[in-house]
Amino acid sequence: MTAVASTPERATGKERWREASGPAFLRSLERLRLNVRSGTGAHPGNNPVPTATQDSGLEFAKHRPYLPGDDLRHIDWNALARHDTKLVKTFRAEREAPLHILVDTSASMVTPAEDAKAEAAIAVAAGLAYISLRNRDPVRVAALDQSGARHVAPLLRHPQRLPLLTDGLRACAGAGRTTLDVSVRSYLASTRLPGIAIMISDFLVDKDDYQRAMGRLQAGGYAVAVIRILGQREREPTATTRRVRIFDVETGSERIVDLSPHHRALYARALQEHIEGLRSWCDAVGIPFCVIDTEVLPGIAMIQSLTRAGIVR
Amino acid sequence: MGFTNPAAFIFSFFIVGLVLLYLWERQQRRLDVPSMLLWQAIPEAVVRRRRFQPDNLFWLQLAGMAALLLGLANPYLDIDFETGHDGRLILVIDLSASMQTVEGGTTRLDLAREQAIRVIRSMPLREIMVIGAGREPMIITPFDRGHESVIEVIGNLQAKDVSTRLEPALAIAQRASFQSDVRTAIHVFTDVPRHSVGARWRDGVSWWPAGTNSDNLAIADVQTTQGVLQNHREMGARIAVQNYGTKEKHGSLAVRVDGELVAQELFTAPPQSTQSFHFPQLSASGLLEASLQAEDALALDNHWRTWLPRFRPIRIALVGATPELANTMSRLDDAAEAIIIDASPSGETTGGADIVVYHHTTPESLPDDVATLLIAPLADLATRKPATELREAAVVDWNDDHEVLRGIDPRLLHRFASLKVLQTPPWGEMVLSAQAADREVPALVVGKPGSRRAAILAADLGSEPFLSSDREPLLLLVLNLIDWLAEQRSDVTVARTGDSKAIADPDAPVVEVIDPKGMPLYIDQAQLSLGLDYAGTYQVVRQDGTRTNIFANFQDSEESNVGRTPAEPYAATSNYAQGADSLKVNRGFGVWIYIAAAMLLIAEWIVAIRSVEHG
Repeated sequence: MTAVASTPERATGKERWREASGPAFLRSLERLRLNVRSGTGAHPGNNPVPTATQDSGLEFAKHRPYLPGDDLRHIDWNALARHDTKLVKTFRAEREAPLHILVDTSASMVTPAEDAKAEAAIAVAAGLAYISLRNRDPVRVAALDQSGARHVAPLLRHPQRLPLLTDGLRACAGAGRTTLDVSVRSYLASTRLPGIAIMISDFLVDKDDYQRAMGRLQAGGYAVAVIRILGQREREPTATTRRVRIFDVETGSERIVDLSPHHRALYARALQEHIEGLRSWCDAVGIPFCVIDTEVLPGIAMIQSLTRAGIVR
Repeated sequence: MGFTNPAAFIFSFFIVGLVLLYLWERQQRRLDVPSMLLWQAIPEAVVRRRRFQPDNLFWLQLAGMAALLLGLANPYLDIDFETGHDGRLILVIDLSASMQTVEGGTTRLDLAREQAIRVIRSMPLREIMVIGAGREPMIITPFDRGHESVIEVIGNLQAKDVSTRLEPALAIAQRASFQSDVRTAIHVFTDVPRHSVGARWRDGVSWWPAGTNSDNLAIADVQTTQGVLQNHREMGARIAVQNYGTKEKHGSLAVRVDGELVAQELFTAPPQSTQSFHFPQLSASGLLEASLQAEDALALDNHWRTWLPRFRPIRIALVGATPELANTMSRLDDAAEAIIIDASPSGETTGGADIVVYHHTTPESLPDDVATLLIAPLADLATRKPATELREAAVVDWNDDHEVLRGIDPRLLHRFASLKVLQTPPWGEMVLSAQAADREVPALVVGKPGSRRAAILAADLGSEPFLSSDREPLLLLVLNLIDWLAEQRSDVTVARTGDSKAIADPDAPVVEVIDPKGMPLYIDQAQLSLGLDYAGTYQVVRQDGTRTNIFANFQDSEESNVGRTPAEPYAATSNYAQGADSLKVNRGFGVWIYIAAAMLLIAEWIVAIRSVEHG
């Protein structure tokens, strides 16, 4: 269910991820499909629903006895002639699966600037939106920040509208604190279109916060997936001096520490525990999880990592 | 205690750099992070109140760096004289000409003197020998414990105008150090680099270099010129001026004859160059002095003295000359600057003549007070028999080395119309021989039968038109012969400083010699030569009252090239010829400080590793 992209090839920076949100790159994702197992909506669409049938369609599902009120045009006349029983043919139901992309646009996503986490999140959101729109499923994008969830664009139904997504997210990026639960609650209150919800964030919040947020989405009938954006500087913080004054860009709090090798090892362990904690919780509740390293080439991150995680196929 | 390399303390700014680096490293640089969540695992650093509170690592680094600096400076102990030990000290002081070079208002000899006195004062219990090194080594004081008297002697030392020869002086010093069981230190004070002497002479010797100034202009050479056929008025001088420095120099070159300015030229000399100045037709004789007026470091080589011979025409008395010969000889005035003072057939008035020429005449005996030239004598000088005559005798042999044939190709003499057949007298040397009728006979014989020179020319000049252009070689032969016979004596000798001039003369012993400084020199009667230590005029007075002058010029390109590469004093660490115990004099211990520095750096490395491991 989870995968971490790892490749010797490293992206060079923010420009590469910006290019990944452009049409040239997005066209390379045409053959991908979202791996929809649940989260389909009420409107007819192209996603077959395994557990539901409908009176008309392309894929035959089963027969059922005729019930009064059924449309006589749906009676299988061959079966009536053979068995002398009125049976009605049913077909596999196909519904649209609206995609809800929830992108963390708090200040932590733009810090450190060299990591380009916000740009990577926007590129991943654009790629997922493109895949969904090519499958004729609508896309809704929201920016999660301290104030809640903001719809950065109207419900998208065509790939040509994607610039609304990228421009809207870029306009929101880099402000406020990360409050996932509050933002998700705000988002759920603003929409009544269940579907697939993919949350893209660095998840640098208490585990209670992200657990409540994603539990709230699952309870709302959404099929949830999680993408953790990770930067190189976040993995290995560097400084010109041994002693540094740590400044939290979201809260403004400070802390003076010595960047000794021992302390670096403690930091690396804390990061690893944080990622593993998120991964194990997602596995436990059946949420696909993937880590995208901003140092990885966008093509590999979008295709290989998301495929391995089962988010796309 | 002193430092062999005090310039090493220039690198002290590295310590300041270390402190600045420490302060910079201690600065709290701000590091923006996305969240404090992950940093909770790291304990917060203890913030000190004082800005500069170095840790043990810093002190170790500081001590290591200070030790490295001190080791580079190479300290040595020079006063730690142990009671009960005795030692000796030999000071070799360079007294050559280049030590007169001015270095910032003082001379190199003054600098060497100061260094030597400083060394003496640091070793109050030692016996001291002082050796002066010039052209020849000289023991100025033997081993002496009276340091104040030695210092006084050193203070009175004067440099000589001679070249540097350190090795003989060092040989004496090393020999003196071997002659005793007492440990002996040798210190050399010179402007010559240490590597210029052989390894066997510099081993175990402390070297004190003095001087770096290269700014010197010198008269490299002076040549006076006068052609064979030129008279004294056409005498000229060529003067070479060399700039040994690395800067362009300006100056003037003045030429004086007998104190009167005859020529002066302003010049600009590019660095490391030589310029030649030609002063033709000086039209003067006497003491020629060339002097440079320029600001340079060594004044000694700015002067030159030479001698332009006093003009006096050669006085010739003709005896028995035919009218043709007398007429021809009288026309030699312009070419040979000779005048005929008597042309009587009997030669009655030969007094005052420089040369008596006998033509077709054989005197009873050759005069002792005047040079003699016999031309085609009718009788042989030795046998008194009439001389036979050969016609058309061709020149067949000659002595190339003789002065009489200078500038002449004898083959161009061809043949003589008439040649007397004569025997070579015992005092004579055949210079030219001719052949006729298969018989080779002497054509020209020269020699010194008494106090004056004499020559016998068998060819009859009366029948040879030697003033015609066809007989130019014969004319040159006659002129050379007259020059050689006249033997003009000069009471002036020109020499170079550092040379030795022979002054012994059994007939006229030297009674007094006055050096260029006006001081009389002690002269032993058995002394054969005089060493010229100073530039200037030496006056030699003989018992017969004659007085001759020796002009000693300083001409030594190695000494004039005073530029020296800056060098640090070299303190020998094992400058004792003998003895197992070591006196702690001039013993450098920089190596031990280097070892201490290495140990400190290893300790610092270990502490740093431990610091990293424990955060």
